[in-house]
Amino acid sequence: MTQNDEFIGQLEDYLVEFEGETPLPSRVIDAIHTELPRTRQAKPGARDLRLPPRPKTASLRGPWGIVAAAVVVAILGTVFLFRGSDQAATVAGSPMPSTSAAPSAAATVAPTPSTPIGAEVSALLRGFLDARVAGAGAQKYLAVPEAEVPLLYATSSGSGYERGEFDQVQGIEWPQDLTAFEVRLFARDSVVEQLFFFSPDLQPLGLGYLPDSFGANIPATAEDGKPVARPFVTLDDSITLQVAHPWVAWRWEDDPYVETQGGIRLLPEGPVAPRVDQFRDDWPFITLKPDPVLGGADCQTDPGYGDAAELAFHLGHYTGVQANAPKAVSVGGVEGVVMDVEIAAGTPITVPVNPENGGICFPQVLGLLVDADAPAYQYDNILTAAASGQWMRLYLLDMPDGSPTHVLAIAIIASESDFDRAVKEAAPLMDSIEFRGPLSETP
Amino acid sequence: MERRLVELAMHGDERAFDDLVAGVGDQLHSVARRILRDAYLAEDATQRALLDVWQNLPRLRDPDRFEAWAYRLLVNACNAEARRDRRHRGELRLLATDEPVIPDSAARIAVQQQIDLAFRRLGVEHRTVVVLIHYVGLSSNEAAEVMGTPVGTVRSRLHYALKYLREAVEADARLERSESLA
Repeated sequence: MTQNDEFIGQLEDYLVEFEGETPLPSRVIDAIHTELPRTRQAKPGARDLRLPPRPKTASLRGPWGIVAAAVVVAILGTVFLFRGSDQAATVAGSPMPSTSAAPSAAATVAPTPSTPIGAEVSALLRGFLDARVAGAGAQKYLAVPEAEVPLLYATSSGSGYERGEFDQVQGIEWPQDLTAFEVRLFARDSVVEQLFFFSPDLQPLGLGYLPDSFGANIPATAEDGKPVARPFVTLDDSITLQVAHPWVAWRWEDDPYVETQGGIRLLPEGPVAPRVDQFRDDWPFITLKPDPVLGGADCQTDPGYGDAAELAFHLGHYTGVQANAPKAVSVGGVEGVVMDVEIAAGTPITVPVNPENGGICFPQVLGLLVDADAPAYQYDNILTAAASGQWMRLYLLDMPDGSPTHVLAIAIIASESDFDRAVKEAAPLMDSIEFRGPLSETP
Repeated sequence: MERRLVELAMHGDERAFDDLVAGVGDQLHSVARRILRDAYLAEDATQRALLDVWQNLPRLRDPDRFEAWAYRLLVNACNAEARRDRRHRGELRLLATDEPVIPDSAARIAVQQQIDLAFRRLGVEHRTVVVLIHYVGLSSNEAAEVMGTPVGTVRSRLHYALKYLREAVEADARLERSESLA
């Protein structure tokens, strides 16, 4: 045995023996049981925004839930945005500030006394603005990849920035020392406004950026007062949508464990809405599904339909489904049908389960209307779930021959009260859809 | 881990989740204890990880990868706990009195205490690599996936962690020899 082998053996013995047996204490299991009913499960396919780590939950030494709830209630009760002119800090790239470009007034709601910004954070912001004006080096001030920050060094027309300034934004605090800042960058004839945030928990330490403005009803990036659209590329780079506020696309991230079929969600109207958890299942969303037939491991995959119109007919006659008559539609140059679909809230939806492996067989688009918060029951290889009561505008598109996808489904899903707004706000997003690559290849 | 339990828990079955906790809870807690070297932090991290498991189960891509995914959530929770509570308090540990006495037990315990002293001085990232590879038994590639870091980073951290541990233990041993000679 070599010395190295002997040491590794000693190390492994130490790891096994020194702590001894360490079963999970029953008090931890009890605490999990207590917390479980209050912990909502994510919906399949929903994606998490990269947030600073959350505070401890249901700690045995002091549940944070009560504290967090109290803080959130306090924030909701006093929430507003503030652009404090007395505290605005300016970083100039040229001695004379631009006079032609002016920031939008969208974020100004009401003034409030602002809290002092720490010198460290202030220096971080100044360095960040300096680098953006200089056209290089901003990444080292960011806690996110620079590719995730739109218009980092130039406006959409390619103009470099002449100067920048920032203000603290009040009202988007989170009970974990999060501070939000509005950054304004002035070019010759444009001004770019962006929201960044800072938390000592961010790793690496730097400025964070969230495309949904941390739930605030203001664009994360605006140019001359207009929200800046970002391309959302999905389904193996075959489809691009341009997503702009009030829609927000979940960040794509390679993750070997969780589903990457993500979402584009519609921010709610009204006052600032700080997030109370990271899964906003109640917000309207758009999703795309290729060949939305029966799914699940080893389940039947033969849809038994020929084209989009036949699939629409099939879905419209599924038990419990209410749907209007499909109408012809064209999206991104691809023909198909569109229909509105609803399953009344609480309606049981039963689906077969593969007895061999537990895989769940489900018409995927109807699965979008299942209430993920309600319990599902399984008996004798039949799973019963309940409908959420949400409405769905469903586009079913006949993809060209030669495409690996036969029918593409695009679904806009919202509660009844949000449905009209969601459909209306989705119009520019639907108009922006471009097909490229194999999905729309003609033979 | 039975795929069926994971599938049921993915669809909100709390009893199935209880069974999952019974199946993996002890192991996750053991790993957290070794990464964090603090009983209370390890309990919090395990609790946090298991609640994260419950919350995010419906998004799990492949139920067969449940265990590896749970390790990832545990490592994330351990990192969060380590950041939040940077207490470096000494912790006396009493050996169980019913442990069998074997001839080399004194020497063996002395080596383990030397390793323990050095192990505690490692950063949490380095301890995590050592625990995942030399306690859980993951490969470098698997540890990289669990930690969400490139495999090169894992190998580098492991190299430096083992080098540090080995040198620290050897230094202690040299010191003991010189003291006994004096």
